[in-house]
Amino acid sequence: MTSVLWLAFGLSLGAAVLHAALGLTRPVDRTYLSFAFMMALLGPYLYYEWVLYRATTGAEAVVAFRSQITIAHCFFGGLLVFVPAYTKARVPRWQMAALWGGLALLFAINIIAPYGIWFSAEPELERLTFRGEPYTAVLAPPTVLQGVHTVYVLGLMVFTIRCAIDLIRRGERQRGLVLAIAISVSVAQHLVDVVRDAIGGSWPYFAEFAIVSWGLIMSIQLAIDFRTTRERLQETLSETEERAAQLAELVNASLHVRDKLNTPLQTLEIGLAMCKPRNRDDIETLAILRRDVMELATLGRNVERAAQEQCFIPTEELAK
Amino acid sequence: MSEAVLFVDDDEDLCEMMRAILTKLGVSRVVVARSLRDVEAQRDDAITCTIAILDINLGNDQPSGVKVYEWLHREGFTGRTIFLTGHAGNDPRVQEAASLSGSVIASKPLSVPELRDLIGGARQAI
Repeated sequence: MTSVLWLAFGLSLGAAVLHAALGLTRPVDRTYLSFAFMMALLGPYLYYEWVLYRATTGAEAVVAFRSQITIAHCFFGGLLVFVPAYTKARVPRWQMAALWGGLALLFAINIIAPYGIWFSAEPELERLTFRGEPYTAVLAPPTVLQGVHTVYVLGLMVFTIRCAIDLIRRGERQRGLVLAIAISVSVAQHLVDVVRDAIGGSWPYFAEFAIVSWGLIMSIQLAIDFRTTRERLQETLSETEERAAQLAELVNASLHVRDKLNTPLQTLEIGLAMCKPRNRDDIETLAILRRDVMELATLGRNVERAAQEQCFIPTEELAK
Repeated sequence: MSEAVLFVDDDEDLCEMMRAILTKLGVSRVVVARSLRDVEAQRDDAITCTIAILDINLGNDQPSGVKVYEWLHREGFTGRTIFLTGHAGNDPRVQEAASLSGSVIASKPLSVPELRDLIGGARQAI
């Protein structure tokens, strides 16, 4: 059992460091940062699990379990930040307020209650062995507060799955499914424990590792997300560079046309100034030609101005 | 106007038109050239002009208007220079011309009144 705890401890510590580094890189990312916070909490959570396995008295078990539940409450706080940030789901304010309020209440009860939120009295201990290693299991008769706590945790899971479904509906199928699967695995572990108690099994409780397995699955998904985002950014950057090069070519081509136009326009301008109209028709024709030369000159200036501003000129603007 | 004007542009039609309009504007002597080599061939006429109107781009593989300016000043030209350009202000050749002392940059196409004002301004500066 100790080796399993050490393995989980190493995984959670690695995930905490990695995701904290990703989350703290500017601009700060709440998804990675909240996940790193949750993973960092797994360290002390697993330590108290180890303490619990070695508990010899009910009082020791109460201290270890109360500490574990306090850490789990902090983990749930992280989850309330992580899930909306990860799924970008629009959660009604009242719903968030209810979840935070409920969590604060459970947190306070766990601290204040004489035996924590899970026990109504000092629990009985059971000495078991797993693969030759002895460990302590706690027998806790059901209480009202346990029920309230379980309802809250189930509510939190429903909230997470609803946000995951929102994500799937918005087209991010894989990310949504992984979140839903990760939370379902945690629920399944609790169900296995129910079966264990029902048939009198002697294997360790799986629920104790529910948070670790959730963290492991989400850690992999977040790493994939990071890679995908980086690839998308790279693609967007390449496309932008390509478009910028095309734009520069177009601007240069327009400037080249403008440059080639200027000398003939200058010749026309002077030529028209030199012409002496002989009759009324000549006067009208010259006026039209002068106006056209002026329009072409204006077009050339607009091309130059737009090139200096490094932007496209709308067709209607060119025509002005 | 009684100035002598040197006009340098690689376009033959424009040179002829400019000669005609400058004469019409009262310029007493107009010297036209299409390249630095042309200017060198008319050295004495060119350096005694009081105003030089130089196109900056004198064609591919040809010395630019800036080179003509430098040559004129080496040879003792003391008049004012107007650089005529069809290129944008951020063109390096235009920026080089703008940095030369005693020079004015004008963009093509110039209207006849603008040309008259430019020559008038250059005459006052002499």
